[in-house]
Amino acid sequence: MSISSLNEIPSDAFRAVLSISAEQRDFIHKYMECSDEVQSVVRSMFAVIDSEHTTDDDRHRAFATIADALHLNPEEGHGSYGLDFRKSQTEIAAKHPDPAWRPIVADRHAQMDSQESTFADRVKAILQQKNLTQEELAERIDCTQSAVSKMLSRKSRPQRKTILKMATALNVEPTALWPDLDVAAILDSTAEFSNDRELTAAQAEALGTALSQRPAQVKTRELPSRAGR
Amino acid sequence: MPEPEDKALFADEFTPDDLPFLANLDCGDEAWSRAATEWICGSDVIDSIGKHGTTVWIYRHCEADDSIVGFASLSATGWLRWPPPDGKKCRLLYIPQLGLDRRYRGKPSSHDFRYSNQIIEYLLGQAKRAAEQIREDKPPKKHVELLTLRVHRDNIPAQKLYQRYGFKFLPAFDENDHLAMQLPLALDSPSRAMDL
Repeated sequence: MSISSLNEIPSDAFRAVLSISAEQRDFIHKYMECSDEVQSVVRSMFAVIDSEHTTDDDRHRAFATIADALHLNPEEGHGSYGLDFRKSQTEIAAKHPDPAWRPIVADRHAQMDSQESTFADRVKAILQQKNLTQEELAERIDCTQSAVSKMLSRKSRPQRKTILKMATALNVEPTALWPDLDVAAILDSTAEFSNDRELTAAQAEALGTALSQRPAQVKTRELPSRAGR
Repeated sequence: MPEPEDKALFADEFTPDDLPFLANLDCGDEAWSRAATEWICGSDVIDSIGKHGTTVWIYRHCEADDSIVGFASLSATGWLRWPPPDGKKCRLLYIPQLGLDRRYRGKPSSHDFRYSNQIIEYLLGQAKRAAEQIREDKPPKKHVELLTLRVHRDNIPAQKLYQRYGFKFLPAFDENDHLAMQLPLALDSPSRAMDL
């Protein structure tokens, strides 16, 4: 259906828009601030959640992905669509099925926390040095002051492209904000490839071509295990 | 004449007991090598295991010596809709990361015992086994018997290694300076997982 004038929009739709809550508006705002790729991931996650074939585990992961992508934080009233990613990570650390992993997972999350803390401290110091406000920085990188505030108060983890934008806006090297950004980008990209995605036509064609190849027998080998030594 | 280094590596699933020995792992100075070290030593490996059921193997060259030669991993990608936009959902097998300590690059000189070859040949065997298991467990053709990985566009030695084992580039999946590669797995029974 195509709509050429506002009169053609069903009144139910208007009522639905007017009745959305502040949290839902905030959710839409966050969604609109994301890149096309992140928006695509979020849409595909909703499709996963809606599907009757989705298992509880997959649905849980889909919620976690949305929360991560949009930096939702239920403790601040933004979490009506899912769970808080950081909180969920902490819970995973505490409830990991293998007790031997728990302190290690917790330690790794502490490392992430420390990275974010260093980033926040550095940005704050540069803002002070350049006599800039968070609002001015937000304007320069085309996002909201609230998003900047969340990153600086470590309520959300900045994406690589946000760090690059901030570096340009603050006229500093990206590594001055986040050391080893190249490595962080590779790791992000490795993880992203594991996410659900909608294939583009070009990707579908490439897969089709790959699958039409005759599979070749490749050399494999078994290796001994040290288990039980 | 066989050299003392000409022997099979030991491969074991990654456990918390391996962590102290990973502290000495150094896959190299290039960004992708540092990312490999960081992946196995940082939080990403745990996220990958926890969220995607990734299996990770640690390779050692000696039963008595705990030092680590390298590691490899195997997972499945997220759901892809095939064919888009309304097809069924399926997954591809995926190698999230693979790393070799810089001290073991190009060693030993014997091709048969070269550590990089041992690591990848073992991984290919595990991928085949995983694909066969998935096919048995999930008859509704949820998985494609295509093994995929991503490699940095400047990491030419790795690209050549994968090509020697039959991997080809998978266009349209290139992202963030990484090229995607694919290898259709020849399984023991006749049917392929996905109808084309």
